[in-house]
Amino acid sequence: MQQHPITFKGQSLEFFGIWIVNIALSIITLGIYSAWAKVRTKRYFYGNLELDGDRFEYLAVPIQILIGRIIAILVLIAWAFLNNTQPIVSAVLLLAFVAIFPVLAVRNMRFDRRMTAYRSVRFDFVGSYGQAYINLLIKPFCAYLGFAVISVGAVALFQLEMPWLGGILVALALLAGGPLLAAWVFSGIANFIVKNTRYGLLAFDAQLSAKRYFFISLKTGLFTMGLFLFVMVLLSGVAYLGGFITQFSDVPTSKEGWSDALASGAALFIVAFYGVFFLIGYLSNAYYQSQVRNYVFGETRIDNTIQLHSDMRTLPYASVLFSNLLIIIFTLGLGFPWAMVRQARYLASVTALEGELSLDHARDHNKSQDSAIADELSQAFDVDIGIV
Amino acid sequence: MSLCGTAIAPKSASKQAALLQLGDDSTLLLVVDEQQFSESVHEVTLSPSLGRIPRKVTFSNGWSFTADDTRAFNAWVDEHTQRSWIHSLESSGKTIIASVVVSIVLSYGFFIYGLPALAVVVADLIPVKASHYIGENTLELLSKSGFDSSEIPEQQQEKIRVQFQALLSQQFDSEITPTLLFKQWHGDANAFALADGTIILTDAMVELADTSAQLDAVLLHELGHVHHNHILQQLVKASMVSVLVAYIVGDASGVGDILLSTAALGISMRYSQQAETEADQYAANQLMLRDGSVSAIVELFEKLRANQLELPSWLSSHPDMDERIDGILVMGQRPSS
Repeated sequence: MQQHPITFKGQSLEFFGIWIVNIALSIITLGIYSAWAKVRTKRYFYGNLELDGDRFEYLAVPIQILIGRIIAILVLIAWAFLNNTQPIVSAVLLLAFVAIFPVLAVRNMRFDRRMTAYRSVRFDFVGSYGQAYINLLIKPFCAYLGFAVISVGAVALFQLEMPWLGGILVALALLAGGPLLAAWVFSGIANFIVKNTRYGLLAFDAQLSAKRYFFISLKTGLFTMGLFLFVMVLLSGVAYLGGFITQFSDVPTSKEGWSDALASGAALFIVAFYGVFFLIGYLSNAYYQSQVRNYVFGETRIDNTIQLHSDMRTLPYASVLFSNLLIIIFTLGLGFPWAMVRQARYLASVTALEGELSLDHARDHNKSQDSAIADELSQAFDVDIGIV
Repeated sequence: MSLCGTAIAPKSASKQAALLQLGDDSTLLLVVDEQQFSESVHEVTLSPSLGRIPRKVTFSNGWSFTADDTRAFNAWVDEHTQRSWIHSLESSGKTIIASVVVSIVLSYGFFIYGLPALAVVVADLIPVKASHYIGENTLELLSKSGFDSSEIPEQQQEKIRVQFQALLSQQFDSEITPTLLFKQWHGDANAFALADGTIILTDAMVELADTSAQLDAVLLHELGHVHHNHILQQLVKASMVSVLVAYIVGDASGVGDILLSTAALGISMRYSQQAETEADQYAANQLMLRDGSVSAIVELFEKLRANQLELPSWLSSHPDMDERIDGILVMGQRPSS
């Protein structure tokens, strides 16, 4: 089967110029230009994504983004002000926001896909609001409810003076119940997103199972625990040696001397502990994300003929993420475009399509454009949903 | 000149080899699939110039073409159409360096001067009715968070109220009429000003400020917050900072979330410290006018300093106590005219 890699052709230095000029213009125009800036950034990243000799395209018009952005900012200001003055009203608003979230998500995904084109054919999202409510609201709610029931049950058993049974239930809830419910929710969302994505009139399809999501969670848990144990053993050794060396000038002769040596090692241990904890979090997150992405892409087919492929690895991905964080910190934010280009280049490099890409039968869906309000609202409240 | 490339049929993804002839008179002739279309460069749609992305030309009948030699085609288009001003700005070293400078200077200036100034304007626009509402809500929240009723004898409370009224009648000018409340709060010596001008003294503070001049200093500091409309301004600033940070973070896609939230907290702390300094200045000014000395407020701050566990100033909503005392002493040395 013919494999077509995806490559990202953008250059950090070139994008830095685009990014900083657009930021300066956005500041000078009191934020109005930011809509144009967003479109240029998106166009840069889509336009530099190459597949089988052709580039992707971003089609949104800045005015659409501007209108959406103004509405989103008004909502955000109102919310921020209410949050500082009227916690009750803002709590009600938050509930209202949760209630319309599935609608926002559908419109957001539809807008994003209709604004993306490859070879003159636009993508589309055809998921219904009903399906969105089931997958994005009702199922997560049921999962929370299920988890709450198990937890309450455990507490009840503790109070009935059956701590042994309660302990088992808690362990079961944390190790199996939680991940299982999460797998059920996440696989549902991923299926909903993939199955309703279209390239022109060609359908995407995938059969994602909750079982595989559960296994990925389980593997991530084991990976994290293994990493944690390994690091603990390593750190204990270092701390012990460290304490020993600082005390080396007067080799402890008594029992107290030895415990002092261990105590000074403990201080070192605590400092190292926090740093390492952060790193483990990074690695564990990178592991989960790569596993899920590889699984979802591996199951996704377009028109039953083109197979998606992702070959993400934990260590390379984690090092891209972590070095990007360092770049951003040490350049005080000015290295942001560099980090963005590095991330895009890495993600493209691990993605490929298999199959016949002549796409002779692909036709555009001829649907109208949407407004960008949902798109901007989701961005403002940081609730973009994605498969990975 | 003619260029080889690929053409894509309207509304479909099927691509075919094609030839584009570039005429000297700015006409484009597309030869594809035994058909020919000719249009002027001003009639076709060209994808915007951005970085080194290949330009795509779309004819009005929907056929589009991308050249194999993208550099040659991009150059020809640049020569025969008006260059996009934004593309010129984005690719010139001079404007890039200027943009770096402008962005850094303006964002720094905005957070230090622009946003506080804007907050003053916005806070003044908020109707008095709204500030009453906010004040009542804050009081309710504070009551839930551990306010107890005062144990100061009614007689002494009345005496302090009279003292407070005297301060108000001297030279306090504001739309709002401040009121005084006595409360206990975890045994801490503290005083609060709310949006509606309510000033709260804790029992421990009344005990700490044992001369009437020192009590005046506390009350004047809080009246300074009311006079400057600080509470509403802080609310507006906090709202603006959270909106801005939400927007910036929204773009950062997770990488810089923690960093930016920390920055937002730091910015808010800075604003709060500025307000405290302003309130200190107000109190010192009033004391200077009345008594010709700032010793009352200095004595009070020295007692507070002895009483409190200090946080490093960048982590605190209040400036360092030494700095506050120094600031007031400087004011006291100024010849009062």
